[in-house]
Amino acid sequence: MVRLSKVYDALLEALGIIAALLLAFVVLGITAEIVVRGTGLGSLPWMIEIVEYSLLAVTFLAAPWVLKHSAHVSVDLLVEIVGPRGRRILALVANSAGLIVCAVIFYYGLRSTIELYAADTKIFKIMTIREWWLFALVPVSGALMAIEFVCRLFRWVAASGEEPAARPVDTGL
Amino acid sequence: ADTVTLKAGTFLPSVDRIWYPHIRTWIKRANEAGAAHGLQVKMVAAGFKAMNPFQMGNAVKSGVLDLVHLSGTFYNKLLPIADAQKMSTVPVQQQRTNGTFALLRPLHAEKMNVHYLGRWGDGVNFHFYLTKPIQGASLKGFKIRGTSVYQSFIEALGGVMITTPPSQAYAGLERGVFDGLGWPLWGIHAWGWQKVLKYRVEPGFFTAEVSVLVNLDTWKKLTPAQQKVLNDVQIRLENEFGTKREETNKSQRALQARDGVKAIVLEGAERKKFLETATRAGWADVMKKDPVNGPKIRKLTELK
Amino acid sequence: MEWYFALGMLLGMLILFMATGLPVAFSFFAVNLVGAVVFLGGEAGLMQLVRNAVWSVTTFSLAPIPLFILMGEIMFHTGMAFRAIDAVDRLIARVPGRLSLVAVTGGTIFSTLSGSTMANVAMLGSSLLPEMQRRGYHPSMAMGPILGTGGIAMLIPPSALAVLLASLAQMPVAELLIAGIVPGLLIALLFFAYIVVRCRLNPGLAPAYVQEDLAPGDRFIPFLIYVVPLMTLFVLVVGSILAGWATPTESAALGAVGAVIAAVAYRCLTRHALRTALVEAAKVTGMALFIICASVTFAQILAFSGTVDGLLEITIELDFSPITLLILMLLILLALGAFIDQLSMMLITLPFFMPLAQHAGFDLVWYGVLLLVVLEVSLTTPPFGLLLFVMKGVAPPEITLRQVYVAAGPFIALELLVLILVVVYPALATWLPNLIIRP
Ligand code: NA
Ligand code: NA
Repeated sequence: MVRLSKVYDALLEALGIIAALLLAFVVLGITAEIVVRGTGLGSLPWMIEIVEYSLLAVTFLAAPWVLKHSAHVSVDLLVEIVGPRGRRILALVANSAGLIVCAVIFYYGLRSTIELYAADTKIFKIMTIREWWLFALVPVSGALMAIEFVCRLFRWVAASGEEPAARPVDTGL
Repeated sequence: ADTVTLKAGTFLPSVDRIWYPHIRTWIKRANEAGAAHGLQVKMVAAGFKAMNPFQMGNAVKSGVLDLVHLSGTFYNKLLPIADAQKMSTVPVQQQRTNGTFALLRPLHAEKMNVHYLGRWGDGVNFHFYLTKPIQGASLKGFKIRGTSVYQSFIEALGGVMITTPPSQAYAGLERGVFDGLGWPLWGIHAWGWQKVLKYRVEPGFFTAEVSVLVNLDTWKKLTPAQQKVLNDVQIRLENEFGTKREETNKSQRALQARDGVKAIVLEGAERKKFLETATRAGWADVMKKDPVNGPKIRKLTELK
Repeated sequence: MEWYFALGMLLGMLILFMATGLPVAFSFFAVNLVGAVVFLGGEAGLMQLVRNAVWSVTTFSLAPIPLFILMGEIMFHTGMAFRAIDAVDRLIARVPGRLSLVAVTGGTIFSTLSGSTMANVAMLGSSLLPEMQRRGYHPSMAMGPILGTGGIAMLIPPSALAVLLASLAQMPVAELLIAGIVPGLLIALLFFAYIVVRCRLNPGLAPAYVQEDLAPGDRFIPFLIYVVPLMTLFVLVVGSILAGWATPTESAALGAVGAVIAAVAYRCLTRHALRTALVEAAKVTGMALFIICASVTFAQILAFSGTVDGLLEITIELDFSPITLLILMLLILLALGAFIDQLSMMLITLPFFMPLAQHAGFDLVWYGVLLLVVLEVSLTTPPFGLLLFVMKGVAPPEITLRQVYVAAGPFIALELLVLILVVVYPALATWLPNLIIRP
């Protein structure tokens, strides 16, 4: 169990690193396009699409890792006011709702992916890619986040007490 | 009986003043004629506001939308042959009788779960609009803002294609990020581009097209009378559009001329080369996407 | 279902979920599950929800968000930002409220360079606040300016929030970025004037102290070395748009590359700093884009349920004058801003506000600047202003949250004054973009 949770943690950290590397790639890719175009060497018309797919990957790969680090912005107005008992009830409701949301995202994400795979739909832009490649990110992300919410619920039962109060998060904007 | 309300969508923004009024009229007539038969059409997703147009194909397939006015370029991922409609040179009235609809209807039903009700918008060509003049049928050294519709043609003419959202095209043209764009004859004023564009290349090429699709489950649940209402409204638009579009073609050219967008008219061999390249590149793209149905539809929709 | 019932149900559920502490993105998703089943057609609606989530973030116009955030993180983690503040500190001498002015100036400079207001407040709060306290500055004069300038970051480009607003509301990005410059500088100027006047009238607020005498060289040279070259980053971002090298979206990448090059030039780019900056930027990006994933379906549900049309019709029937309409919208945002974060504010209100703004015939760039100012103010309005919590977090323990609220007060008032000025004189927002971008 402990071992499994270590693997899970390591996986999420790896996803975070991948997301960071994708960001670096986006910066370099766009800059390359500007330079190539500006120096009259032509154009990298597929770069826009690659950047778009990278943004998608960053979003879904990073989401479980962000959740693990409690860095998804939340409104803790009520959580701060109520006592420990109220806080436990709120945590139970919030984490159950989160679990349901992620389970639904996982299930319908998986179904969409399978349907797209079966129909073999392609996206014709500058590059031609298979649509299910993109959608496959959704069930993966949904499943990992569902696991995180299950962990939180377990922690809540086991610790019989304080869910650490969420701190205001840097929205960075 | 209860009234059936069809949720409609289109890629055209409702503030558009040249294309969208046709849809408004279409819906108004459908609702007038449908009132007696318990049928109502309600626009819920126009333009990018409520739904990305690239998703409307899926939405009408699944039944999230019941009816769409949508160009093939927005749903070619579901039905690659949809792109072929931009290459058609026969009028829609002829398509209805010469077997084109008979070919397209089962394909739409099978791949997209929709009834292909009809198409309009044909006979309005695409053009290259430029900030500097071209010499003959070549785009060598030109960077053109375009979409997948124009890609094969731009490349065949030796140009470089750049993709940006239309909202960024103005700044791109003004600052020289690109030297022109591809767009239908109608509607450059909606984006203010007439202020930075200097030339329009004549002739135009390909054709605009708006296909009208109804979710197949929805269609089957409609009574024959309700289906007739939609059919009649559609055929009426197709016929009216055919008679009115030359007026608008003329007024759009005049409007552009008034605002300083001069026509560069390719003549003789250059004109021939330009049009032949368009045809070759455009059809090659269709054949690549659907080698089975591509040749069939070319036979049906290319004017001999 | 009547539209007002649908609206009540959707917003009610959203508030309930958010109140439990469920993160904003998941709260939106939770409401979407119900809304998709009811208004988008059962399972087909849930499949649509997934498609919306995928395609909403597969959008090039969102690229500046991670890029601007990365730019700020690089400035912060390499220490370039601290050096710039220190240089400003040396430059300003013998003026009443000197350290407060350093906060305003440094904050304005840093905010022009980063898209991140939080980083700004955290940095200034942790570096300047202890120093101010040691010098006997009144808490309000110490924390107020820091809180105030934190928000200027949103108006002066690069600004991730402006890009986000533009892409959610389909406003022209380049115009909006440039339109924020004049109001942003105006706010900085008013802060400056306020501090000087207050401190002159009441020297006890910011006791003068003896400074070590610096040779003119020691005062000006650090500024020339550490601040002036950084301004080229601003020039790079805005200039590359104007010169036609890059589209507004692409320019953000140049900013990030420029920040890295600057860090190399200052010899402060360590592998650790670069890695931390990338990882932190990825975290914020993942958070912000995941909310956008949920938002598209939310807006769709509002449209499909007839809520948007219903509200639009009733507003048109009531026949408000455009100015009444504007004031109503800004008041709603101010009220919301006291409780929830900026992203949620935009996501909840924009589906209603944009059609209304178009109906009223507002200039979208002007309207966008007003929204940005309100969003900025909302960061510092009690009880929930995020910046207030950040400040409380970095301030010494004896500072109470109430003191933080009080300190923010005058600066909120000045920002509201600028808001009113922009309403009355739209040229404050539209003059600069008209001059350099618009036809
Ligand atoms: Na900024
Ligand atoms: Na607030």
